[in-house]
Amino acid sequence: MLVSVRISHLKLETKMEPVENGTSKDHMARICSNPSHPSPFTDVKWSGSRTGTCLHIMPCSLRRRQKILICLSDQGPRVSATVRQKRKNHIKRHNIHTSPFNKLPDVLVIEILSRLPPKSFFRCRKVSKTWLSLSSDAVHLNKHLQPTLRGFFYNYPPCGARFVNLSHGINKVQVDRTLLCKDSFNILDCCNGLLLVQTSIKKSRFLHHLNVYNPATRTLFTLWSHERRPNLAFSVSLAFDPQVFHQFHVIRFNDNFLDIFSFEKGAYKHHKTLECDVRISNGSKGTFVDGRVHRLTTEAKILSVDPKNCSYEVIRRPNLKIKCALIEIGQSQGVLHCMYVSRDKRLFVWVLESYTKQEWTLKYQLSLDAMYQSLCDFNDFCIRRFRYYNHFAFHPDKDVLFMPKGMRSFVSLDLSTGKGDELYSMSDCKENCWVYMPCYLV
Amino acid sequence: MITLTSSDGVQFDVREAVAKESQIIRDMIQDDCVITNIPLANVNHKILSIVLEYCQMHVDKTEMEVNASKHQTTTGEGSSSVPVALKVSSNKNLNDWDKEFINVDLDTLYDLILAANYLNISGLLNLTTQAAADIIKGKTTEEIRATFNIKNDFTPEEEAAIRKENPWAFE
Repeated sequence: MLVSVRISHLKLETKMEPVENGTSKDHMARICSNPSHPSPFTDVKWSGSRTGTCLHIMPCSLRRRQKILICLSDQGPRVSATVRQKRKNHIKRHNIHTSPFNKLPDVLVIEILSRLPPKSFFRCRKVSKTWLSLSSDAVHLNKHLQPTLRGFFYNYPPCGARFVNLSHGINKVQVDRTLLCKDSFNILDCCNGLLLVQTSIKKSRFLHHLNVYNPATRTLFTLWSHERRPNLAFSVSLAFDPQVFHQFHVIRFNDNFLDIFSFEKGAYKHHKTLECDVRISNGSKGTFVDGRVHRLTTEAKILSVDPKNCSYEVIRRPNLKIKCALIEIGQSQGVLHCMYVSRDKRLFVWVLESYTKQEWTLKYQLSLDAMYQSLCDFNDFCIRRFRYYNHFAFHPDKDVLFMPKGMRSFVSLDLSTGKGDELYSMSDCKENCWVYMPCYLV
Repeated sequence: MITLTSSDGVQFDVREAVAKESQIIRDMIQDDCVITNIPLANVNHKILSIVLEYCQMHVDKTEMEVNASKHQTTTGEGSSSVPVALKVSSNKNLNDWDKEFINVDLDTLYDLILAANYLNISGLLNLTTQAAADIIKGKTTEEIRATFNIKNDFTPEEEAAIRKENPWAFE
């Protein structure tokens, strides 16, 4: 009989005679004094029972802390020779189909799966049922699948939209260009890897579709269609939390009204309208923080909408008595950030530490001149142009700000060091640009 | 010196520092400081010798670095860039050595993964599982199955459904 005991990663294997009922101390002696297997166990006691034989052992490393009980099941009745042969054959056949990797413990398969880049990871889901189920555990451990900044989307009218790819190597994001570059493809918002997109079909130019598009999985889901009316100006924002990936909300801002549309498991669920005493500024970008969508209002306050509870509140902006050239809001490291550019070329960055108290904390105050110094000439003209080239973005997990540099490129400014870093070129971008973090839904 | 005994009874005498690369051996030594002989029932002598080669190399490299920095602090003078450069070059050497080291056949790799997990040597576990991941990279599903000899237990419909979830991955 082979006894196999696993205690604190230490496996003891000892060959023993079959144990009779009412065992003697001989067996114990045999375990302890086996010369080729010096036992790490100090105390071994046998006790017999009707169903099998129990073995009490106490390993040295666990001395006095824990007693371990192992049941040695009996071998059962003797089997005939033919049955034994059949079993042997079965084992043999089984071995042909079993690679060592097939026997790898689940935890180690997860370890391997969690090291794969996205494409290989999703291919492995199709390998076998075991791998499919293990991949669901590995997805949270896989750093390649975690939402990190991979690039920027921006509209390039009238030729659809464009993507600036910051990723390279094995993690390079492949964006489907055929869809993106369609004339009618117009990005309205981007939230945690999902794009809110307006499209139209050639046949009926006046009928627009509103879609949610996931560039990572290349799935397009049409929310609704509406007629294009020139006098109807509304703005929409998307609210999507990858932690609750089966649902998302679309908020339509229309004058003094807020329409909140909820979608769950790919189907329309309900719709609620709220009346609101502020109007949002149409050039502003939606910022999703803590389950709420934030937009700047016409009076440069911040409208915060909670789509889940169908409520809203107005947050006042940071108090600063300077002449402001520009105000922007954004999300970084899970908190709401607000940025001012003053007319004397200073940059202020605040974070909202508490919603209830509406307290803003000044985090950075930097001179744009110094930051842009190494990159380009920075003059008043640049500041004026800032208003028109609205490609600002906060890095989602670092103290880095992306700011425009002329029409065709933008720079990343490291706020902690105050240094301008890299230049990313983009073709003529006149509108918002959105940070993109891929979302792979499993 | 500590004696490690493989599952097939072969004994290896190694320095304590080398054996301590393994978390479980480290724990055992901490619990019982007089322990000198440790049986490793899950690792045969072939794999144990490879594992110990890895531990030996990594301990040597770390000790070399420590000595170099000690030397630096005792002599006092000299630019601070020297130990950094040394560290970078030794890290590079070690990475190259790891790369060469892990260039083994699939069966050995499989045994090494198990041994690294059983002995709880995090560096080796990272190295071996990454090597397995590198083998998977760039392969199609069929190639992965063939390489690891895994049986496809999906029906064609199930397979098509998974494919449909992420069609981009199968292009």
